[in-house]
Amino acid sequence: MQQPKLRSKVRGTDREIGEVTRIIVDPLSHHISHLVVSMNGRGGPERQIESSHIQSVGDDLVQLRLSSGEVEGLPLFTRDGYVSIHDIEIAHLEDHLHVESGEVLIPLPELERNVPRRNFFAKFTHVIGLFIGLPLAWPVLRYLMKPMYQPFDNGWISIGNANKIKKDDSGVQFKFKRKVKEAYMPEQEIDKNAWVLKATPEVLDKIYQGKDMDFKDATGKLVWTNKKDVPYVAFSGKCPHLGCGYKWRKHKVLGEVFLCPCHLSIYDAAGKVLDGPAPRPLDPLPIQVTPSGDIKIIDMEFKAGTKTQTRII
Amino acid sequence: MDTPSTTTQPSPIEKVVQFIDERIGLQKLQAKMLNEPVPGGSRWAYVFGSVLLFIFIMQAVTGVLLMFYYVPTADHAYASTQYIIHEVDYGWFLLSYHFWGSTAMVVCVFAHMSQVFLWGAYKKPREMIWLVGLALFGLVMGFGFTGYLLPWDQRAYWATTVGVEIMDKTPIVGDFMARFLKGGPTPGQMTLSRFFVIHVMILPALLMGLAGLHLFLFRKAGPAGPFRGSPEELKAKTDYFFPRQIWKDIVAMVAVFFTTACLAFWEPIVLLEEATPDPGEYHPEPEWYFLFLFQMLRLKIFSGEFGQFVAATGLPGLFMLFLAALPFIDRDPERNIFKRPLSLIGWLVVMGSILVFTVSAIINREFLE
Amino acid sequence: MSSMKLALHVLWSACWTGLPAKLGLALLMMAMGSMNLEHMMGVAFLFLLTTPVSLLSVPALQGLADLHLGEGAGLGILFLLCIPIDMWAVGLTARTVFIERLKVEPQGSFGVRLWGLLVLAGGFYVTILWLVEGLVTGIGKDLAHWFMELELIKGLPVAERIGVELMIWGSISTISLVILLSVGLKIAGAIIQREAAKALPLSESYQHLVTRWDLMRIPADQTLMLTSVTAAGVLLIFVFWGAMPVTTPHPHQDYKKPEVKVAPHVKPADRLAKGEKVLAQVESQVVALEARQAELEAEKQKGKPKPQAKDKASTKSDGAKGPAQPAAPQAAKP
Repeated sequence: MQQPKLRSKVRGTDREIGEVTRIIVDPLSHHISHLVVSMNGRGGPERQIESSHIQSVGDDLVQLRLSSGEVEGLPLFTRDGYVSIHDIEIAHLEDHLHVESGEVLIPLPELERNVPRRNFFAKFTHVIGLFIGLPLAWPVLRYLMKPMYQPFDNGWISIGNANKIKKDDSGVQFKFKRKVKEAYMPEQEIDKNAWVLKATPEVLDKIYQGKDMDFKDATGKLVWTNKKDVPYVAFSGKCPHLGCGYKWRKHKVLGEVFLCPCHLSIYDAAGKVLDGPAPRPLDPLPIQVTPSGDIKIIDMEFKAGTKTQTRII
Repeated sequence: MDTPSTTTQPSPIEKVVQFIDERIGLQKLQAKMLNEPVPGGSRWAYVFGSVLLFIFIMQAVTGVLLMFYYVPTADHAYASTQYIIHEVDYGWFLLSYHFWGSTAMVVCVFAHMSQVFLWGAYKKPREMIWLVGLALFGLVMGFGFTGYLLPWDQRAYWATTVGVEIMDKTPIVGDFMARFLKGGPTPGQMTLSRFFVIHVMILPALLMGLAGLHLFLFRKAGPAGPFRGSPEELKAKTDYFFPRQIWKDIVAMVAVFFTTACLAFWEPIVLLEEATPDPGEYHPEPEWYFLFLFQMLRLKIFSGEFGQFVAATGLPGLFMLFLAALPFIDRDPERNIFKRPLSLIGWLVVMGSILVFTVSAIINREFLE
Repeated sequence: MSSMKLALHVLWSACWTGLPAKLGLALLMMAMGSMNLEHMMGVAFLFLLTTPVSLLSVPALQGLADLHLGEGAGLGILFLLCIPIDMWAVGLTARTVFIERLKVEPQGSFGVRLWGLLVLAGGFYVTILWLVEGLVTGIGKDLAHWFMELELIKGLPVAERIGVELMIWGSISTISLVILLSVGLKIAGAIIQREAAKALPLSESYQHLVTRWDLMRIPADQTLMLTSVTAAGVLLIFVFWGAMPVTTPHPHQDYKKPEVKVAPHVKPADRLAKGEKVLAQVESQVVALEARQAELEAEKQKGKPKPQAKDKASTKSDGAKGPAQPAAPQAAKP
């Protein structure tokens, strides 16, 4: 049998009844199960008629086996109990339908009509999802953070002898090797350097400004104090601007200074910034000098580019 | 399908949703994707596909995390793996979860394939889904094989050596394949690099692509549904993919998550000594899901170069080809397993044989002591 | 519906329904280190899965068959916690099966009643099943062993022997297990059917029945249920985080953790003060020594010629350096 068309006229056994406004399809068999007919033309009340009551289908006419009176007795159509094929997807539903889509409707499954039910399972699904994701959050965070905050190594390193310093207030570079063990890598020795000078009291005063210099641990515990009257001062070999290695040079105007070649930061013998982009003076390191002249330092590194001094190694 | 507020101003979230919806039709898209009616209703038997997706995501997440510390070089692979296990906070748990997750994946792959087979969901019009699924199965096995080498301890090194040597026995292309995988005549750094890139980039990319295709084909064909039940029964029980099937999927996912975590606690990974060219006291053995092949190779009838090839590559290859041809050989539309005696018996025989060979391999260990 | 099929429907669903919650609790126990399963993991899992019937057989078999699932108080606690979970699961699944397939609705505290009956019956039957199956497997293994010793078979190589032997006793065990399980299911089915007989028949359409058991799963007060489950879950997750060991519970025997050299805590102020004290001490010692030297010199000079003045001068300077040296390294020591 030909498929009924939308807007075809519908005829009962006695007279014309109305017009086909919608088609209802069974989601399992994909056959048309009902017609929705608008009584007395478009705009009239809609009634649902089973396809078994269709006698024949013509090009523009659907002939029913029922009389208009019997059709009047059929249930009214309620749109609420149905969804259109725009709202859900049923595979191959339209393969054999030759009806204008949009008004092809599929009954909402009985089980889905209960809104609290949908809400409950939706929410419970989210709760269960939480129980999968949440237990992992903390371990994963700790896992990733492991190497980020290393405890400080406050070991003393011998870097050379003070007899290398011939002049007062003059920077002398001391190269030394530091043993580094990173994670699972074998222990390696890296080359580092520090600048040491034997300071006269004025320069010493400029550096210490009347106070002994304390060096603290990450927890705030005191690691070492540089006494302000010890004439030897060691500066970290990294420029506080961005970490480059700086030099001791003769400047045309400023005299003998610490000069960083990267961005031309200039420091005087006391480490104070004379010129350039350095945000703070040179970083002094804890220093000990034995009576025989051996210089020992604790190798520290500080965050580059900040006004306040923050120790990172 | 949130119920929008009717009278008051839309909430900020609702406003954002409206914004996106205006531009890409989000509501309609969501409805089409989620409101797929499952004939006969949502079922626990259908969860394995989603569970596999979940396991893959977990493996990817734990795998990426492992890559933060693992290095694929012969000199540091072992040390970096030990570092993860012993030093990094919860590293032991993440690595053990990744290891046991691979077991869970293989178990669920077998469950999923069995479910599809028993439900006859490989028959017309679902042949392509089945074929893509077989490819996915091969990828999962590939993941297991390549990942096993990475810790570079004795177990990893020797299991891989034996496995690649077996592949070598394939006629014509065997030597080329083996050298390609080993990156040379013998296993070494080149092998590790190749296995690493295959495990971490090539296989995941292939898996994601094929899984996407698998899902697309599945949606196009529609779920097969139960193999018995009157239309009335099916209709009465029909519900949508969301929320009911999704709910069942996620409960299954959480059960798998708990199980894998329990396994990680029960037996966390402990490496053997670092890989050396001398196997010493160690008897090479592959991962458990290859044990049945391993045991088959011990049988007398498969001795000799050709025999080894037949047992390790030939027979499994033929079996996979048979599975691929299955939808084209078995054209009977009947899907009820109890009315397909050949299929049922075939499934029981295959599963039974795999079980027998696997257990035999485990018993065989005692003979080697 | 046959009793076996009924039992299968109810028990299969009930066991799997309770499992996710049981697994979560098992995980918690393992994280807290209060449960240790060693090589009985598989068997323990089976018992955990089937607690609606196997709960009472666990202690019974521990006594009768030396069944040792694992160590730890957590194991016992876990099985105790299964009781409320199983009561709920059995009630829910049995009710569903009754409504949909038997078209009856059970009354009263049906779930607890049925659970109680199943656990009691199961306690007996699962114990018997375990013991009988063990016996049969033993006989099967002996049989297989005898068969393998036959002249005809002795010649088989190792791998084939293992396979054949396994298949012999494996098939015997499997067949016996299937028979025992069937009998068990029949018994359980009879119990369930007796309960079903007490239930009220329903006359609704199939659709109504399905809707009925479907909606049965939705709690009356959703917000309360969801909030309490979320809160309980989050709390347990925090416990999990706290209890979980940070480093591996099974460290490798050869792995040596790099020794964290804790630098001895230096109190620089004290050290410097000590140094100064030592120096002061030494200074006074030096002064005292010099004084003594001067006295000695003075005495000697009374009785000796001039040339010795040179020596005295050198010894004096040596003496001054001497005591200072042992003190200096002390102060310089970090």
